[in-house]
Amino acid sequence: MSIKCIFYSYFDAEKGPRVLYQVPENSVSASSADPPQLQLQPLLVNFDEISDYIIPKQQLCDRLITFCRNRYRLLGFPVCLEDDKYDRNEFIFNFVIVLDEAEEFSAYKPVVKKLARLFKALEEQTGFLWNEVTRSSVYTLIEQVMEDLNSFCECMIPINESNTINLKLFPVIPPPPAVKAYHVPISTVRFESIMDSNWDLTMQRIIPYIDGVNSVRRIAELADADYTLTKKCIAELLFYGCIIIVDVFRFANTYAVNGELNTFVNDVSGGLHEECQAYVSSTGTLLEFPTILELYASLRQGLSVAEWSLENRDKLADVDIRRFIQFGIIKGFLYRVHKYPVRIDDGTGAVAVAAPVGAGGSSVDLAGLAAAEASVATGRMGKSVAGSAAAVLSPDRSLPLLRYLDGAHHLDAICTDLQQSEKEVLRNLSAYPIEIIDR
Amino acid sequence: MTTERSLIPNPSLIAILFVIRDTYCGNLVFHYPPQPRAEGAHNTSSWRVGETSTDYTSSNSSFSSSSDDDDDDDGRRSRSTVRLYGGAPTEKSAVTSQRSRSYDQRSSRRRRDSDHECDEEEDDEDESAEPAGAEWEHVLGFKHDVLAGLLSVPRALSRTRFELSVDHFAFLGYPCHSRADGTWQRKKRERKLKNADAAVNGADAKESSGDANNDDDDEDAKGHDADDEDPDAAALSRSKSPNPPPSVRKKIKRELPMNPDRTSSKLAMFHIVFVMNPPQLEYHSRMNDMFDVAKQFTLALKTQQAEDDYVAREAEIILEIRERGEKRGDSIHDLWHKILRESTLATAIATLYQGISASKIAHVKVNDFDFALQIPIMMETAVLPSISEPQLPGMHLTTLKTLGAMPSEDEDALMTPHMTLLFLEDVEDIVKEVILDQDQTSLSASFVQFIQNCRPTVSFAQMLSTPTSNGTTNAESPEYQYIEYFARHLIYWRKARAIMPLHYRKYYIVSPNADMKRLVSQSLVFSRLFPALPPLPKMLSLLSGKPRPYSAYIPSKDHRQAYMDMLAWLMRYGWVTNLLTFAYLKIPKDIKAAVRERQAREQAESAVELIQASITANSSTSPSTISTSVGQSIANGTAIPNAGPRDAAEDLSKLSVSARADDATVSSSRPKTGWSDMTDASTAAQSRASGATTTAGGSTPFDSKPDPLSNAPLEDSILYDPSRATPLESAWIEQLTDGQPPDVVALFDRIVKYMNGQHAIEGIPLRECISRRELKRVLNAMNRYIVYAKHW
Repeated sequence: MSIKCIFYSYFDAEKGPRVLYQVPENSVSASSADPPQLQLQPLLVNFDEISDYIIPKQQLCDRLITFCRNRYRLLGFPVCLEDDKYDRNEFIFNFVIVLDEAEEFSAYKPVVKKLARLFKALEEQTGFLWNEVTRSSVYTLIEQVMEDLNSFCECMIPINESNTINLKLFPVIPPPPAVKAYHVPISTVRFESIMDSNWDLTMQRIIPYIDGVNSVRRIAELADADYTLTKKCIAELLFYGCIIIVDVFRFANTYAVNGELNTFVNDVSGGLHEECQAYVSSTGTLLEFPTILELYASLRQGLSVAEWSLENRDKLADVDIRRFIQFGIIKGFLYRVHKYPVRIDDGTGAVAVAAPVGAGGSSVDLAGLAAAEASVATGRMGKSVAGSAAAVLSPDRSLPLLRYLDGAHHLDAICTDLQQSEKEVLRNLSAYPIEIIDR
Repeated sequence: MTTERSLIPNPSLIAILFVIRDTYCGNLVFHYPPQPRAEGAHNTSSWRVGETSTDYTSSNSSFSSSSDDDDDDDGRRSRSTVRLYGGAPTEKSAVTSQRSRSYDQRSSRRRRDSDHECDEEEDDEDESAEPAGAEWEHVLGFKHDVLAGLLSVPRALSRTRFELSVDHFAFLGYPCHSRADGTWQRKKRERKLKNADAAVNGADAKESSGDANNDDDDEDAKGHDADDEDPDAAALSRSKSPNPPPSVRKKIKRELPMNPDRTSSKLAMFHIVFVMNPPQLEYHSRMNDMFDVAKQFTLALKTQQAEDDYVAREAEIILEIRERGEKRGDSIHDLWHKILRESTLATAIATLYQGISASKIAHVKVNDFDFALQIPIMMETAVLPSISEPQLPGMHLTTLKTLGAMPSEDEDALMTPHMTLLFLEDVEDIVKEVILDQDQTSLSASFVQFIQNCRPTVSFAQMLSTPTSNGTTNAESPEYQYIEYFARHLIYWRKARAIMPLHYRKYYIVSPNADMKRLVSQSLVFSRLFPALPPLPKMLSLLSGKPRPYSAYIPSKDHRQAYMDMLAWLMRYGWVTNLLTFAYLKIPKDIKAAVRERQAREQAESAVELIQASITANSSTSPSTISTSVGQSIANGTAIPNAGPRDAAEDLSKLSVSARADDATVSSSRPKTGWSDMTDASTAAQSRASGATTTAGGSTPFDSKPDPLSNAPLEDSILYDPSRATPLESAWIEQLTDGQPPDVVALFDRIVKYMNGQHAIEGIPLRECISRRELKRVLNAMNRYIVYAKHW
């Protein structure tokens, strides 16, 4: 990851687009002083071929323009200044950074922009680029920028008493996933050591409750913090990798191994096995790895953790079961089998969708309306149904529970949303014909 | 460092532009859609939808905010919550995001002078949402002529990848210029000289690649040169279409009346530009995917242009309509409607846009030449996304290395004959399409026959009409080759997916990746298709819980066919997945102890022999090596008692390494676990193997006292790769079968290599041509040493 070249080009009233300074020399255009045969290496990119995209028409100035040529990517931000003192009353220049085409270049985009703006300001203040004396320092500046960015990913170069080049490359991190009420954050850092009084108030409130057991909803409750703000804070922590997200652990849950198990087993030299042995032990006695593997492999669909721990109670004597499960989840070779209650229609057995109480009093049988599949797919609830009787189904406010019974919500989500325990929810559900799907 | 490829299709296509240059200037002839939206089209399949639309903003703002002054920072943050995730990587950002709400007003004032992306974005939006009168002048917020000038590239950039981005729009294309003499194709005679061996239907296929070699040394070598050939041929080789595409046949017909020295058109260049807005982190992969499409489409047009000036004609038609419309003052929609009606090229561009931007296959037709383009999509994954990863609802889960659209190294050649196809559409529809597409050649007839004969319950090998006597499939047989060829073709064009044949004895579970949001709609379809069977929720509920063989759900033998059909349907939509069994080999300590004891005994014996041999050898000429090795082992032997019990675990390795004193470090500093035990042993075994006789034989005479060894704490361990077992590990494996009947031993030796957690037990009978009963017998006999894990 490095800059191949930085060059400064401008529009010369007589000669057209020119490259004035380039680091290293002879990168994009041959210096006229050397006869062609003395050039040691071919140009990275031939400036003359692409000058249209480096020094563009005025309408395209002040925009970030990148161009690929010869397997290099050129990033520039052409600047156009208008003033009587310039020939043709305008001055267009561009500082261009050249990278390998395959390089992840997003980190350089703001750098190019900032460089352009800085020189624009310098030019406006003192005519820095127009004046031949001050201009001559540009070569040293871009050379320094290139060296520093390549070696340290940042640079700080003073130009004069009021201007400094301050640049830094930041990697792009993907945005965090949406945080759900039933997510359980586990911290990966020691918050007490990095948190200070300048931190956000909500953040300061909720952090003591991030213990790997409480769900986001519960944290908000315990911390007496606003739920939306709590979610935002959790998302922020997630973005910076301070926490990881798991699901709510309960002994009634079901887990099973997935295809990643093999990566875990084969991680002989990575220390994962030792990490696991240490993490899951409750007494300090370490389990042998084959036993650990047997235990993980014996978790399966249709077997709750409670039943499983009974089956294996002799092996689990020294094991913290919660941590045991959590380790598998965190490392990704264990997955949670969620329970999805689905309300079915008595007659047909198809999924019944909650209907407004007023409209006939009973759930609408959608089975006969199979033709409406397309429209059904568009919205989870409230969809128009084909045919003459275009009954509009809408979420039933009076029966909050029924809203969740279309198969798209698992019990965790329902429980945290309704803030009821699984037992309560299941008891309330028993009044309806439901099927539970484990997924 | 390219960005990781996401499984979720996201073409990020905003618009397709058609730019030409005649002798005078560039012109943006046509673009589709008429009023492109800056956001582009996104797939609406997951939470990624949100991500892709915010990604750009968030990633960029992170830079502007962090690299600009702090002061600006506060203001900018407050304007969007997205920014929350993009701030400088300090804990401060969260704080400022909350605190800075109050700065809102101040910052909006400042916003004008801090011209960062967001402002520009807003500006762009303003521009693109022009009043109707200006809709002619602007495309994507650019002035018509600016865009035309930008995209009608100089000749020097011809026939290379063109990639330009202006702010968040990326322009991608493959500009084509006419040749210096004004023609579009190398003359046939010349071509023949150059490529004397050009294939029959690829006669003119090599044309442009020949060109590329001659006058285009900039052609990017990133794997694109391979498809720098006629698009027909490219499509053919890609899709492995069993029939010569119609275009080839048509071309042959058309070439006859073609005048070799017809007057060249004024058209100097044409350029189909794909305007994209890919998420920053997926930039490279999205652009590369699209480039394949762009290039194939452009090359198809080039062929047509070379034939009868097609592109130039179409451009003229479109420009004429535009001119007329402009005079009449038509609205852009009326005008586009007219253009699409009259210009086949415009229609092709529109079709292409609609197909590609929806991640579908685009069937385009230029100048009566039909072809299909697509960005290939993933249809199955081995990895279940975790709670905080992008979800892939509905995608089939399997760790099997199934048949892909293209042959690859990854595939398990032994298994592919035992796969079968699961059609993703109704077979009749596929057959209809094939017949519609292709002439009734014998090849196409057998293709149709293949499609009709293919059952999800019958593997390719079973489909072959003449199964070889021993049950093995000859992967080389021409018949099988055809099957594979057809299968790949169907997979590439998204008609089918390769699966393990369905069987009622196998286990199926509700896929953890099933798309529960579709339950309501799919249950309706299900009840229509299988009215006699339990409804979908009931069925899925049955399949939940403890995994059982599928036969357990089938009430009687008469129901079997219906239930298998249903299973195929459930598989097709990703509701269920096949639960497979994987095995790991466990080596208990008693086995290790037994092996250790035996080896110690053997080594002691051989040492005695060695000493005897060395005595005789010393008396003769001079194998001084042996005496030194003996000397070294004396040194080592004396050292061992000092090492104490802590090192006891390493004794075994020292035992064999000891002759090479310098190797002692290898085994010294490892933690004492089951694994180190094993790895040390393997190091030892390797060095022993390489050290040949001196090491193996000469090591033990003095330290082979059995007593300290038997006390060493041995631990159970998992042998993770039996196929590459070291000699010591092999000895363990051998010891496992101690006392078993010889046939079990022999079979176990054959199958032990699959006990690495990567090969499904279900596949072993097929690979090794042994019966399931035999396999079961061996596995039962060895049950104590095998750890089973069940997943997909």
